[in-house]
Amino acid sequence: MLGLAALALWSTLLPLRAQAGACCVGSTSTVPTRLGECEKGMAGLSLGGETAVGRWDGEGALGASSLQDDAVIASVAGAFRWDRKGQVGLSLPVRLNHKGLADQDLWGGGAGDLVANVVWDPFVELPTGGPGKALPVPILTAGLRLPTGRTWEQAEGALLEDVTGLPGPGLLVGLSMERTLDKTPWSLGVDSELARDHDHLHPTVTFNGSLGRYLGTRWSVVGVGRHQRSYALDGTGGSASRTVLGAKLALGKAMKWRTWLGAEGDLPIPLLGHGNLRQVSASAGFALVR
Amino acid sequence: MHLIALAALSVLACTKDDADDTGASGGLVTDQGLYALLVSYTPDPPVAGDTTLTVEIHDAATDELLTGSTLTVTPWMPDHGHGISDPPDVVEDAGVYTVTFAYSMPGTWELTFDVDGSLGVDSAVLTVEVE
Repeated sequence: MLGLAALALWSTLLPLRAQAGACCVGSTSTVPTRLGECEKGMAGLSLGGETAVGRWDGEGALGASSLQDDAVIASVAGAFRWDRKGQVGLSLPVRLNHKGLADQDLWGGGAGDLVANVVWDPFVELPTGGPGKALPVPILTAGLRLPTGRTWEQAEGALLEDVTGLPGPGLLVGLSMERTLDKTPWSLGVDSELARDHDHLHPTVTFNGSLGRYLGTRWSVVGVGRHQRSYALDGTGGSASRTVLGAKLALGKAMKWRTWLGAEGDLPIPLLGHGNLRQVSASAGFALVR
Repeated sequence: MHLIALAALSVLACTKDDADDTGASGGLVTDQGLYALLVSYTPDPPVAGDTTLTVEIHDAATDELLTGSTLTVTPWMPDHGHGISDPPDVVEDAGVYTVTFAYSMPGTWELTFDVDGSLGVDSAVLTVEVE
């Protein structure tokens, strides 16, 4: 269940993940709601659904899940660029969860955890055409997840269907290398969260990559992949992991608006995940950009 | 003492109709070796949702069935860092403890059995794979 929360959290972070400086980068990044260099601000809304189609057990073997586990997730996000090198963003998901067993259907939901994030983009990405002018640039992110959602300890639902957040705050740090000025923009990076749950620390590390393609001046498509692994530093927990592939199709008008449609899923391959439900999801979104 | 307890548990487990090679039912000895617990599940193997544990508490040294102990069971999902919303309900009937609760999702769970009985306080952790 908290795997769902972690996935939702990752989704909320996407609009704020750093990319390099192309004006149209918002249409080719993993989610087109991020700000390009020529953009000052954005406000966006996304709506998506996810469902469990199986699970990885603790040894990484594939299996069926005895629980039907679905969610509808709406996310609102906003971002503002105060400098060429820096932007700040906020995002908040709202979840409607469904847990189904043979003899019962349970529903619950509410607002999730609020995420604030700062992106530092220190170097100007240069266009292809000269020596050293096609290099990727580093992007740094830092942020804070606030436990504004309902935790499992506050939940009243028998199957925790009303859980929408994690029990403590999380410190977010990320680093990625990105190249966005070519016809096939790409990125490779790592995002991390150090979450605090009472007296325990729970780090999560996500390795991610994307490869896109411009399709004319308004359309673009991007494939994304990531491997996520969570731990318990103090020995109070186990570890869980998952591996996800997805794709997103985007349409936009520079400095006006953009919209997108995406789908992704956990790979049904043994050992690419441990201790997690396997999920598939789809989402659509729209953002105003200035 | 542990060898005696484990030998006793193996005999106990083999006498249970619902303890088979594919299920999770079986026995375990508490950390300090005071008690031997025989645990059976319904359903077995465990699945998400309502579950019932039947727990017998034995003297690990003599295999005597003990009555009047206080048993507390705490489910915990270490991979995801959470427990359950409603604490398990425990009812004793002549040394047989019936524990009811609901697993909120499939995955690896740890059940911590805390026993406060005539031999003292002791505990044991059982790992369960919920399908």
